[in-house]
Amino acid sequence: MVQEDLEAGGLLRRLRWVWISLSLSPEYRATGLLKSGAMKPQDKPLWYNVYEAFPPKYEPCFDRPAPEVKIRKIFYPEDVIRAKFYKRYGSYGTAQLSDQKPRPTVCQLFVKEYEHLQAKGSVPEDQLMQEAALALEAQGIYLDRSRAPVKTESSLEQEDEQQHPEQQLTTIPNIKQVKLEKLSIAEIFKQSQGNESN
Amino acid sequence: MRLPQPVNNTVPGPAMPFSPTTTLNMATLGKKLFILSVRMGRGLWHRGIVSSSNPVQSAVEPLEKLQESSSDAITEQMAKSLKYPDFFKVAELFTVEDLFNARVHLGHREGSLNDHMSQFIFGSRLSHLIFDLDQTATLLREALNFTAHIAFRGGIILFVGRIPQHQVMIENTAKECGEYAHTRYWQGGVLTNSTIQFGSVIRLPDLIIFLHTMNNVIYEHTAIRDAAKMLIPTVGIVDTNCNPNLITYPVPGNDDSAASISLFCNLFKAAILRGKEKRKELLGVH
Repeated sequence: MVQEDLEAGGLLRRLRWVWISLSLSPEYRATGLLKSGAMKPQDKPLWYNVYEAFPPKYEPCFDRPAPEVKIRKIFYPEDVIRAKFYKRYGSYGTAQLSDQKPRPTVCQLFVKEYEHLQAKGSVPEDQLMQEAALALEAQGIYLDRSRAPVKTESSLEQEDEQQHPEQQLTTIPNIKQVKLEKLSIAEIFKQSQGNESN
Repeated sequence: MRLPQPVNNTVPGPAMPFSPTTTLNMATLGKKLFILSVRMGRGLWHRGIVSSSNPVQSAVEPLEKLQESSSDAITEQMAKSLKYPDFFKVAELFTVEDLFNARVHLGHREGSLNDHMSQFIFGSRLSHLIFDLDQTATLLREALNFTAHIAFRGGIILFVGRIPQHQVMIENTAKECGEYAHTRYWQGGVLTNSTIQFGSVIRLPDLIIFLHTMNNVIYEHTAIRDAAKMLIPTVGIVDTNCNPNLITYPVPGNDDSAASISLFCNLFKAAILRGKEKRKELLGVH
């Protein structure tokens, strides 16, 4: 067996068989075998009739050439607005790709406002970005963080109440809400020094 | 291109599951493969080769002679089933939206694109390739139809996939539809040298379904080439970095997401079960 392999004729014969077996479709070879009598009719492969009735769209040959198809780049008209948005404000927030019905992202809302203003035509081109950002501020999304209202404790509570009205626990009116003040390290140091001296 | 009709119209192949002449069939073969690949690994090559006194053949075993009347009726029915474009209604199993939700349209990046796959690509979004799901849907319907017909004729179907994340999913799919799976290390001679490797007459699978055409590394699975050599038709999910040329019924799509692989597994399982159901009706045998 090894000797046969080393023989040039044997190797070439095998290579030729491999080339034929891969460059011709299985059905072509099976037909050939059946016609020549090498494969008896009762040995006809199970898939032969099915393949005959439903041949594949592309014949399975090893040397089937790759059709020269240029891959088109997918771009939309809104991409110009998106590019401007991301350049100015970076990646704002996150999006879950696995969500089936996701909420619109900040970028999507921005694009919507921008296009709305563009369609109206009342705002000149160079101010469209600013106007769109202002429109989002009206909805509560502050792209320019410095313009965002400062969150004080009372406003935080108000926000909590607005967002989670059902989670508000009933407070007992007698007990005063003791608010812990932020102590600085210097004050703690002073206090401990005072204690030591006493 | 019309092919010449074979002289004898009988459908060969072991149609009877209870044929007493069935030798080492794929069930025990599958078990053996699993045990050998898990316990012995590559040490199999050093096992003593068992030689049988009878001349060995790894082709499909000839059908046991049935009663003439029943076999004619069966073959007639099988020939009739080929006249319908979608006998098993596999087109109802999925929609393009299902493919989209399972993320089948997501390909790799332009750098790893195989030139043969460029015809199945819709476009590239910032160098991320997107499959054309209309083409995928057409080819998937073809593949499912073929699978169902093979199952209808009592063919042995082998699921192959070599990515560890989806191994268990593929094996479970095969179990649930009563077919076979090989998701472990593929020893070279499984198809081409089966009689010597397993030491007995082997019935090879009639269809191989590849959930992954690539191995762990950047090479194609050996079984693709070997199935082409042994005249076994193949169905395969081909990603943007795969070569679809040797696969009989390629299905361009994403083979890396668990969602897409699970969708494909379910679709193939459904097609096989439909084929088997019709077969049960036809044969009236459990």
